[in-house]
Amino acid sequence: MEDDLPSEYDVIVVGTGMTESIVAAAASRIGKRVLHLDSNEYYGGLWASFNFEGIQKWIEDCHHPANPQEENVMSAVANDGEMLIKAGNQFSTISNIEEKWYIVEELADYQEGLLFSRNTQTDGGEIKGDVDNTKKEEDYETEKHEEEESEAGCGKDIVPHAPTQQWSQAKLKKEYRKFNLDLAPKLLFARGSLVELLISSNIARYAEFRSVTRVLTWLDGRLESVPCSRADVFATRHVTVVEKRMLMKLLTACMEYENSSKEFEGFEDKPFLEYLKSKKLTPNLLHYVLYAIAMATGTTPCMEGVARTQKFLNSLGRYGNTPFLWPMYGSGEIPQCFCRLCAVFGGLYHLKRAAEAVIVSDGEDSNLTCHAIVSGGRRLNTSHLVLAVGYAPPQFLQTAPNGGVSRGIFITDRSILPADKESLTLLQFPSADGCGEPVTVIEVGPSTNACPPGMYVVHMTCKQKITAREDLQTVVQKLLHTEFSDGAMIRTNTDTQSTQTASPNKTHSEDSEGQEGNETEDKGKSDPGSDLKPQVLWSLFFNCPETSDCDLTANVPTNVFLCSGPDVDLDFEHAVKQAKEIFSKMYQDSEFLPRAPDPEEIVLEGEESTPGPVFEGDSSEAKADENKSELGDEEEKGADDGGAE
Amino acid sequence: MSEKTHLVFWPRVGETCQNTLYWEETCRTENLGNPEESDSGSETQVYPAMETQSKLTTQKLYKIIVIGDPTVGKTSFVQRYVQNSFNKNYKGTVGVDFALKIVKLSETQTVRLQLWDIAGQERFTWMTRVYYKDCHGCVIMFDLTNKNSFINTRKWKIDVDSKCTRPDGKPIPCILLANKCDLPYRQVDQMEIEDLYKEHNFIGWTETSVKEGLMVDDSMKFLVDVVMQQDGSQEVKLLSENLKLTGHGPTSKSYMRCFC
Repeated sequence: MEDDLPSEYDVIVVGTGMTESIVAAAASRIGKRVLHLDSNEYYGGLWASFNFEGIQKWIEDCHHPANPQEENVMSAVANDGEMLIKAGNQFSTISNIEEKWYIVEELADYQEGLLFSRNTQTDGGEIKGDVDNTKKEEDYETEKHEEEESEAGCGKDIVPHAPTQQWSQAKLKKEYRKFNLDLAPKLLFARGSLVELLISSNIARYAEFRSVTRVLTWLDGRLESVPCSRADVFATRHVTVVEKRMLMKLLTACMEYENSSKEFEGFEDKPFLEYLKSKKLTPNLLHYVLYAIAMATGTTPCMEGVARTQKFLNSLGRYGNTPFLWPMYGSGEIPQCFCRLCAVFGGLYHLKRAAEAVIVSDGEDSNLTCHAIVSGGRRLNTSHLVLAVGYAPPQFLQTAPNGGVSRGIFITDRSILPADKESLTLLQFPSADGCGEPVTVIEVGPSTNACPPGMYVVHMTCKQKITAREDLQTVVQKLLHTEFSDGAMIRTNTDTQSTQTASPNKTHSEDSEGQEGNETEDKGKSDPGSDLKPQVLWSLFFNCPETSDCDLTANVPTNVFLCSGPDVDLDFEHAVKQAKEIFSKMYQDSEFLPRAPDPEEIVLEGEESTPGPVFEGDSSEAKADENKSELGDEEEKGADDGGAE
Repeated sequence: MSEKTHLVFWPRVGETCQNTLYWEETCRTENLGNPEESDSGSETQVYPAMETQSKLTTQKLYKIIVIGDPTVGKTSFVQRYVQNSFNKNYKGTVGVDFALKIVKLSETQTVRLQLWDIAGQERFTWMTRVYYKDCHGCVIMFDLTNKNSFINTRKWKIDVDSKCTRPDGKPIPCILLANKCDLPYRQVDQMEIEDLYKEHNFIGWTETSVKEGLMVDDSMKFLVDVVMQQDGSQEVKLLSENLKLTGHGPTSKSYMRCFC
């Protein structure tokens, strides 16, 4: 496409991640001339969601990063007194990539039709795709794995009640379009800042969500539902009436702590756990509150725990059964919604194009000022420059990021805790000692367009300690079946053979003392309360630098703003906050993303005043929605909206 | 409209459209009186209204996206179709996602068409999924005098097919439009177009002149007929569990009320 980009802008934004996209939309919305670039040919950068083909390409690109362009002719575009600083650094580099298949490349013909055919092979090959040979399936080495495990995996007993589809690599790849795999899976708190922003800016019309249907926790070596709503609490048999009272009293105290600060007197400097213990909660209640509701750890300070509990409770009852929403088509949709708004208000988009250099000069107070960028060999002038961390010249960053995020993506053949209906699950998996960083597990199914029918996608995220695979290993082993499957065998639950075949409902009661810590030992009990752990079909591990806690303002020219990459947090709060800060520094007196009019509100010359369409395919549904937004805050409507379950 | 008779249209409109609905268009912006309007384009195609397909009572809403390389005439096409005007200096209305055209099929039935233009600004890129989402039909356009724009239609088609499908998993019906047929110097010949159309499963192709208003309504009619046929053959998804975020919802006290 020919380059007829204008050369003057108010804001140039480089990178289409979450923060950058919000800033771009906000600037465009108030009439600023915005140019939005990304060196990738997709939106979102490290926040992107890909279909299966896309993620394969992404992996490949990570192994073979494009060489930065030569800076030969660049100096020609700088004026006297200006300096060129080469853009780009290594701070967004993905590391420790490990991709692996757990299924055969092709099913043999006889397997296609025979669902319950018995496995005759004992040497299921483990297919290993490590850093160097992820490119082509032919490159994968096959590796024999232990005979005994294979025996166990094959299963002597054929269980006819688990008719899952037989998958092969070829079959899965054929469905590549139906995947939306997130590099940075994130949920929205129903009353979080992003939901409020989407509504107030009217960008919500570009997106659709599903409610997270359940919050699970890992307790006594099994998965358990955490009662979130009133109905849940009543329905659960794990909690006695006495416990329910205690729980409500405690949560009320957390909700109203501003009014009754006495409640927490003496605990200000102590962990939240201490406070919970002082309330004499039964161990399982304590576990629910600490790990699942506050999403805290044993060392979280009391008041932070209270704040986290509040955040959870505040978002309850707005949409659906839990406080959380998941974007249809994945988290990577959200930046794109902001990009679309930016474009609709005149923002100019150019993917596969980056800034090669930044042109600066000494300004007042010996601070550097940015005048322009060099892109495609051309000088593009701008008043403000917004850069994703990865595109910033290294000298703009005071320190290199020291932390990282460990990520795991797993395509599986069933849910980690099968239910009657497809579930959308959040699980904060506590660390073994209860004090370390938890692993956030999000499981999404076909109804979110994460994957084709018959599959699930499990995302795991935690702070990086060693490598992604090592950091997540424990949780992977507890939740997923990672032996090789040749596609023909039907697994039996080798774990439950040695233990109870308890139904999920008939579980421990109050006698489950000291649940913390014992989940590591009890190998026999480590089955997640169901018949079978999901078979992993494909997995991907990688580490990504955590830049949200870097100082991004210390070393930048006065009119340059850096945006951090995805953080380890569950939600988008950090990006929204950062975008608001950047915007207010650029345009102090302007409103941040005022509501964009609906198409029907814009009356073009000569048009009739017929009400315009809403953004839905189904017009009857659209009308219902129209009413909803007109009626505003009506509780009942909102409840209907959310109560789709 | 003598030129129209020798314009190629594959498959020929008459051949495949015989059994589809005839329709009548309400050109509500017909009398805009745009000073830039060219003379030959003001004519509107009016089809005789056929007897009502009585069972259908709801007003259908279809999202049609228009894509293709920069400057091939997408925005002009939308403007021509919706407002029946041609303006060389037309700039997309800031802040609007799509143009709306209401097509009257019969006395009781109308179809609303959302024509999603590329917004002019996203011309140097692939589209966001937001743009493609839930679309029912697609117009891919190139400029007969610009070979590159023709070559890129292949990429656009692949992009559409990879980013959206009909609910049953089949590709979205796409029509291929060879615009600027009023201009003398062509870089693309009909055999090439014919091959591309066949190879990439377009539902049809035609030459158009947005400037002269040639085959604009016809091509859209053809596309919408196919969209409607396919729509009719599908199960209507009734209750979606997907949430649109609106209003402020109920207050957050529901949890707290439980046992008080």
